Amino acid sequence: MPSNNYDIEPIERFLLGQMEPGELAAFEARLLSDEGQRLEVSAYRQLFDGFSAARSEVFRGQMQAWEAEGNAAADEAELIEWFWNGELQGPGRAAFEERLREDARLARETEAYGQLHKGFAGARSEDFRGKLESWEKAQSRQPELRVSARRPALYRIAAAAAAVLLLAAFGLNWYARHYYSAGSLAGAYYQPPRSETVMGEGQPGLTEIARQFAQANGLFQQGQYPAAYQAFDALLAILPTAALDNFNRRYYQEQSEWNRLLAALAMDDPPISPAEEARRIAGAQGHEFQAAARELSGKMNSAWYKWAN
Amino acid sequence: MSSYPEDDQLIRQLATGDEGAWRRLYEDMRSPFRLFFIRYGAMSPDDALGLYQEAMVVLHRNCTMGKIQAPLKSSIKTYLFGIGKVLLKKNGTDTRQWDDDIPELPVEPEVESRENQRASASLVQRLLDKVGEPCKRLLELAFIHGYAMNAIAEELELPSAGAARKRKFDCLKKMRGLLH
Repeated sequence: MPSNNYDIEPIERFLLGQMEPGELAAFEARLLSDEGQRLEVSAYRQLFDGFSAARSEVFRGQMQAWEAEGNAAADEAELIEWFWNGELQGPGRAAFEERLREDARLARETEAYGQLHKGFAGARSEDFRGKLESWEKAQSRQPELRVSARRPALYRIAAAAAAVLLLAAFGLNWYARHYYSAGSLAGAYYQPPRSETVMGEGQPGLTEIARQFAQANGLFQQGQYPAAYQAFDALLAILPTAALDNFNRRYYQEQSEWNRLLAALAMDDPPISPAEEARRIAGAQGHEFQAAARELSGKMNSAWYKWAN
Repeated sequence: MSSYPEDDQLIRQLATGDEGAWRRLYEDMRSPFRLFFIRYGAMSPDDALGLYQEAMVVLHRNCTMGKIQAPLKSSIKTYLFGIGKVLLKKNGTDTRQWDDDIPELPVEPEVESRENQRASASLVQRLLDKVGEPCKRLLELAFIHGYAMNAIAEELELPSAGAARKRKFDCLKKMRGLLH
């Protein structure tokens, strides 16, 4: 039978594994007896395999883009964390140690993270020490408690060590909170609106949108982040149908998206995930804040950010 | 009753090609997968990342082709790590010392060499360049980007999903004709 006379629909279902058992058995029986059908299936199999492979190639491209948007930056911190936690073993550790010997910048980073690592360990010890002391106090209320002769000396050493650790932890904590707390980042990345950018007379919706936009920015600048979030969110809801030209619509949309993200970042319990929204904007080609979103994403992936928040 | 209700729901979402869901999965599994294969697979961090991406491609293909479906017999994480193990075995790596850490998979993943995939993709790309722009666009939407028929109809301004489906088969026939 000529190629054109075969129905592609069952061939597609067969090749994509979508046939019910009864239909599959009948189709396979037909394949055994009809050489033309076998040739058709074979030809279409090449096409479907090719489409599937092409789809995989597209997926590979997506993964490369995700990597470029921030994972690569976080990788180094993660490797260093595994190194300090003792999780990096075998050839992976050997390769990392080799890099440490050859790469002065990586060695400095590793050393800096090492301070953080020790700081965290110290803070954990302090926390545990506090618990020990409270248990001691509870015990000391019992009359049969005996105190060892060496305890005062041990206490003095422990107290000195605790003071050093507390000092180190305090310094690192100040740095992390000053530069990496969610509120600090929101303030650092916020840009007041540039009024000269907005143009276009004769657009009936422009005045009202500009008023609401200024109001939302005012709330943000006063530190009323939940109210600012709601104001920017409401603006984003009406922008698609507002009587604006494309230039002004896009201007307000991108500004509002960015400022809504920053307001969410500064909130205790934001309605959206700031990390996801930052990644989304970082991936939005041509978005005014794409570069800033990439940078912000990188900071949100850092150990400093995790410490400070 | 499924043993992995959350993963069942996720696999249905992934099967539609939802990019956001794939990205979340990619980022959630990236660290544990890399650490596991650096520790047990005797791999450098870069090689572990390469293996992770290959395993994700296999999972993506099997999922979008309907070869892995709910209800699942193992978690997505186990399946993904299992694919990593199968890929390493195919490369001749001895995995016996950590076989027990990843149970055998109820569904063996189909793992194809990258060369074969590239050859198949290249054949289809050459043929797509010959079928004309409208057919090329439609077939790419259907088979590479995983659009449903109604979405294709909307994207290409066709009157209905049925019209898009008919056009898809016409275009496939045109492509098949080029294989002679």
